Amino acid sequence: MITLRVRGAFAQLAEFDPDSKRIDNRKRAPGEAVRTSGWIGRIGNDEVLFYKHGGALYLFIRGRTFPANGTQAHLTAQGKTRRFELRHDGDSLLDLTYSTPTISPPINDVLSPGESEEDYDYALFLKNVLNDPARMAVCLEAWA
Amino acid sequence: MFQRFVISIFFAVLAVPSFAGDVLVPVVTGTAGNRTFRTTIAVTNGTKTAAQCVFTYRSLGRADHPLVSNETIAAGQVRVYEDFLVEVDAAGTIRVGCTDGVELVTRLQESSDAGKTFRAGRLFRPFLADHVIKEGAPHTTRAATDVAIAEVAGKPVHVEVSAANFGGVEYAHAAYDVPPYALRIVSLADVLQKLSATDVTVTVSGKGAIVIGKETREPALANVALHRTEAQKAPQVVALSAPPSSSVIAMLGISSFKAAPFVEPMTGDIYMRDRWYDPHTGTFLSPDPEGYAGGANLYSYCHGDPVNCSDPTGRLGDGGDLRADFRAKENAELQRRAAAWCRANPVECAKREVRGGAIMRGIGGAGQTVAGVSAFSATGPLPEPVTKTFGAITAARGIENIGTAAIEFWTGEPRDTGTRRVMYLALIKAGQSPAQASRISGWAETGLDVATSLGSGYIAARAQQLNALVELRIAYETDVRSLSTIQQQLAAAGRTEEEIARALSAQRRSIGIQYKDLTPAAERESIYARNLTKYGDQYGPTVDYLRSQGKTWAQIIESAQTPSGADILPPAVASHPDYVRYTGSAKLQ
Repeated sequence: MITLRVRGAFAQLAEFDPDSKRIDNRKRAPGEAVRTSGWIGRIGNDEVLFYKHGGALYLFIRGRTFPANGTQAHLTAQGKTRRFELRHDGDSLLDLTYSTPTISPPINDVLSPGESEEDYDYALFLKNVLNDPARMAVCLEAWA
Repeated sequence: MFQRFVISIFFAVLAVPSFAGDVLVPVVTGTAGNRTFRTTIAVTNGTKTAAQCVFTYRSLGRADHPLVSNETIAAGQVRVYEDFLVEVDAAGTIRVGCTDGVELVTRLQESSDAGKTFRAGRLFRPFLADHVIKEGAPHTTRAATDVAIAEVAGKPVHVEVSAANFGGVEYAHAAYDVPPYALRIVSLADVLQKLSATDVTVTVSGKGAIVIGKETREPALANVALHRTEAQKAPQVVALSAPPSSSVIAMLGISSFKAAPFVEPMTGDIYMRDRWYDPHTGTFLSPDPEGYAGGANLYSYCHGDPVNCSDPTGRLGDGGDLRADFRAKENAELQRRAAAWCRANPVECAKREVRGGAIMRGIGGAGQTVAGVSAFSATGPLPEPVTKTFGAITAARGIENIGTAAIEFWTGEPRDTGTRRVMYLALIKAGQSPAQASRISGWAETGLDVATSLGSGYIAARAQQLNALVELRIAYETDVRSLSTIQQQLAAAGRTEEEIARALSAQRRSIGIQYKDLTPAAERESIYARNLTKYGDQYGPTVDYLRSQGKTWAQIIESAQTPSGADILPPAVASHPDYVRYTGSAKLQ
């Protein structure tokens, strides 16, 4: 069983069974400091899991699991919409268009140093990490 | 039960050596609560030359509106001022200063309560220069009866009264606070309590107070005064003087002295306190029901000192503050008298009104000038041509108003400003009638002043806010950028990247908290709430969160040293000359 953080909701956690593909959501107990193994979030209407399992990083999308290594992510902006594509070995894993998230109040504020747009756009986060081996390495190191 | 007291106070003259000092007398007149007070003053000039007396009334605890009357008392004349200040509800002190020849006065007071009448007299002595207490120089007097402590400098004083025997051993002590312009009569009986008061030394320490020793409460003095007054058939009415200055409106009301009500017509006996006194034998016809242990002052409340206290025992009936009650009525009376004076002196009154308006115009003009200059020199809140124009017009109008006000004050005549005059002439030229032109130009001038003043005030206030925000922003950016120095120091000390990143992140969070005012409060609270939901921490992403995002230690270190919020700075801040200059110099470093 893998414990995942839910994007945008600190108080929520998800338990994912890589074998049965079962996902159970649960609330974080008050003061519970759990070391998680990745993220679960939505891009458009699709639930996307990005996690560490057995010393490697994986993506779980639409009922299928893919190793993160070798997965290419593309993100293009067209006006107020963005198109996100995930490909693995030539196969299209995901190709969807979603509205650019509106962030209000602005995130770039003195009170929240270290915040960036990818904290509000899961697709942007995946694109940045999947295309950056250094960040992939940090994920492997930081996740349980 | 509604109780009613009537207390009348009058002074009469005794044949004692002449004096050059002033006499201070407490005054209570008018109505307060359920009681009515009356004051009557009689002054006799026992010499063969005319005497000048100055009566100065000061309301208790109050330095403004002294009521002053200059009176001339002919040689050998008894001048009686009945119902002194009767038209003014008043509580305070009257200072009577006369040329040599006007002699000691006594006080006879009467009160009634549910059919009982009380009467007693008090002798007031003049105070001399050596009676005034100087700082650090207690006043010592040998007193057999009471001591009067008066405050004449307009500042409250604290006095300590101690009584010592001939051996210098203190055996009685009391402390009093005397309000400004109040006269407190300290009965030795109060100080000494049950010890017999023979000849004792009383030491009073304080500052600015006046001590008048050996006050007496002998009721017979009043009787003597009464008979002298009757016998001499003194002139009874003195005309009111004109107000001595523009600020002093009310004057001392003066009318005839009425001794008769105090005398029992059937027997000729005089009623004092609540017992009859026989002036022929000098004895009381009935025993004193209360005795004199509490002092001879027969006000039945406030320990015989209605001027100095506010009825702490609540016997006033309505429980109110006697002094406050008097003060309100006194103010109303001052206003009434001002109106009456205006009716009698319409020209002077009109001039006074113009001068009052001129003062207001001058104050307004000064404010306009300040606002105008501030707006003229303001940077940032609005485009410069707007701020300069508003500032210049407002300042010019302010200066014009000050000048016009000065002329109005000098002449006492109303005067139009040049601006209004120009508008008036333009309106006349445009075909308006003089009345219409006058009205319209008046409104237009007022509108111009209001609009420019508000505009300039807004500009100045906004500029002040903006300057504060720019200053804060520059301080914030300086602090954030200074984290690079900490990074260098930690690296030189051999700390790991993780240690440096964690140290800088912690420092950066504290800077964010310190400069939280850069974010408007409402937005800040919204961000706090969002951060708590998203990161479990109101101040935003933690280091562990950033690591879970795959951020390297180098990225975390870099983000900690980067001032955030630059892209959401209000344009007025981003384009402010001070900020532009700062960011330019920061980039150069």
